Amino acid sequence: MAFPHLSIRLGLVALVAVLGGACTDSPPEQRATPDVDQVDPSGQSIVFWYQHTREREAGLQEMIADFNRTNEYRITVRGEYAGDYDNVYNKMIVGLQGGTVPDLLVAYQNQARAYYAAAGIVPLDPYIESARWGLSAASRADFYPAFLRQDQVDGVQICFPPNRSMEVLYCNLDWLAELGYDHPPRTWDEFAQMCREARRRPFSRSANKSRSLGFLLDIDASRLASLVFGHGGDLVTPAQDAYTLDTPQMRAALSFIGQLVREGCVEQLGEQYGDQREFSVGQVLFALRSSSSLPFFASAIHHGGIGFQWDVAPLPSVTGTPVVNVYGASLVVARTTPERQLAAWLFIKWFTEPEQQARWVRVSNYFPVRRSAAAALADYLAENPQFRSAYRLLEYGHSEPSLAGYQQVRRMMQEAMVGILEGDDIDRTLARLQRRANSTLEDEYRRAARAE
Amino acid sequence: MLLASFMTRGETLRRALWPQRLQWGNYADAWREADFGLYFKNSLIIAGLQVGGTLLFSVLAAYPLARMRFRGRELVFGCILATLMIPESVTMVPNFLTITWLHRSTPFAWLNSWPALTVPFMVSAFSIFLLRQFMRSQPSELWDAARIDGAGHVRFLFQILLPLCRAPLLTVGMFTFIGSWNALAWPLLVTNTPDWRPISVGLQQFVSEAGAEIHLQMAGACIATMPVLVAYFLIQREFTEGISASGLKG
Repeated sequence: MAFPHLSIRLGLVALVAVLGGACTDSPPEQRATPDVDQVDPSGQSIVFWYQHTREREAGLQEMIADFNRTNEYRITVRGEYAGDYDNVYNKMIVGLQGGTVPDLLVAYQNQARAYYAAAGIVPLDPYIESARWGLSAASRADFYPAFLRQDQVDGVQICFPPNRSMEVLYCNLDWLAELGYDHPPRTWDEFAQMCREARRRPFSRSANKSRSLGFLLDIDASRLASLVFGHGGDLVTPAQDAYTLDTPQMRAALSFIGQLVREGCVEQLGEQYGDQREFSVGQVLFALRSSSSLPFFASAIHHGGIGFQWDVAPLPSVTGTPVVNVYGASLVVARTTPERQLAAWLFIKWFTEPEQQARWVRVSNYFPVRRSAAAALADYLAENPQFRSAYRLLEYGHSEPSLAGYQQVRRMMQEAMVGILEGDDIDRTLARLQRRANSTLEDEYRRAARAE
Repeated sequence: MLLASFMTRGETLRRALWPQRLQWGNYADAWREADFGLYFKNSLIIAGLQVGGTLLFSVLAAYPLARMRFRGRELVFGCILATLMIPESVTMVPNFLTITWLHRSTPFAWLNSWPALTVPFMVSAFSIFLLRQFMRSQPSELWDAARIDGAGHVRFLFQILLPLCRAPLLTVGMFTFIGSWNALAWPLLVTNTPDWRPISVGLQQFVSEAGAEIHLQMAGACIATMPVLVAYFLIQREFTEGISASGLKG
């Protein structure tokens, strides 16, 4: 019998456990990358696994076709949809065991770290620095440094950013005006006050005035990370050698949102994209989502919803300076042959050129990773004011941990989040969360020590 | 799900109870946008092969466990039952490694082909158990009479016993069909192109990382569910009978 859909997540847990064991038994082997300047990528055919569907997939396939047609080395990239991020990870981890890996694939930083630990991908520094195939100093300086840093492990570039998105607060400006505000919330107190007033005074154009809320909280580690960043905290130490999940900032973030839940002006999200749906019909004042959802929000509000003025803003920050959670999957190059690896890098290099970046932004609504792409996007920014608002926040980006076990920790964070919102003791829950999260790091250290 | 599949996007967003006008176009859009034609055909082939294979191997395994006496029979049956306790997701890696090995070691292409999608699931402990229980419940006089008429085990199985097993066979077929129809993780693992992928992959196209179009998603879900519903309606009497006869009823 086949695998029922509902068991996939459980399956992934089991799979990670099995492969975790496999990684423990066989120490990672980081073979030396040959001198890439001497490698000839001509005529290589490579496979690229991605997670995009529909319009994004169509746009990406067009770009791939252009690359195949125009690159001077006759490299052929074959783009293949490999399921969502979890499916891609699953496929790659299993593929590493069976020796059936693609040449290029999308990966979140923590996933890339797991591949790297299993010697399944190659570091990209030799390619970036190559005199023949690499990026010039000016090109490198053109990338947002934070994005490149996000993709490094101990100073090694294990993946490369093709795009980024960030968590932004979607605000119903017309409703805020009805409540007497002419701006999105600037402080947490103001955010709380707006939520309370939204509960008391439904939006005049709401589709259902009997339901009026300030905010719908998605039980998700990235949402929690954004709240913690806004309260001046972080999830890990600056050196990323320990989790910092039992901190006054984490306590403040969860207590704050817990209080609003108890007051009834914030509720836990019960259905996937329910916040997007309720926001579009004027039942929820704010929604916290990825900026990549901008076209979905716009379409929901104006082609199905009730139509109103809206914008995006950063979450309030206790420091006064916005801190936005910037994330996004990157590209990794699988360990195959020097020729294929180089061909994969050349595709990455082409894809991150400013003109291709501008093209990809138009297709995907992701943010570009290079500053110079903005020049080619002037008209797009003018036509998409919400995208422009979010784009301006890029310099305030802060990222979540890029540790191999972070996927596991995310689940722990979500469990703790639900527990605390449902009345568990916050001190005990956070102390346990901290202990469990750090134990995943200890496992990683043990594996690394054995490998050495 | 059915009502939402006929709504406009606005109606799904507003949580309307009933569509103002039936949006038949949602079905056409869903069919076109997710290339359901191809996925539908693939799913039918995969389910057909899997049902056929499961029935064949389950019958051949259940019969000796039910009707033949040999040393270690109960132990073999116990081992088969014990495999029911292994989560299927745990078998994913070994199955994949086996398929990869076969792909490399035999002249046949296993990856990106029907065998990879069907062969690992053609043996089902649950199906063997279900059929064995039913076969055991048949009177031994049948076998005695068949022996007197000169029939051996093969003839007895295919000419006498199997026609009596219609209900459990249809039940096994139905369970296998549903499992195969809903499969997503395994097909994604062993295939790389839409040419081999089932309808669940098509359905996944409507849920992106950034948002969902519920009306199209529901239309797609209705399309994907329809064959299972039709199959169930056609065999519901035998299905219930099969479950009852195997002693699985609550």
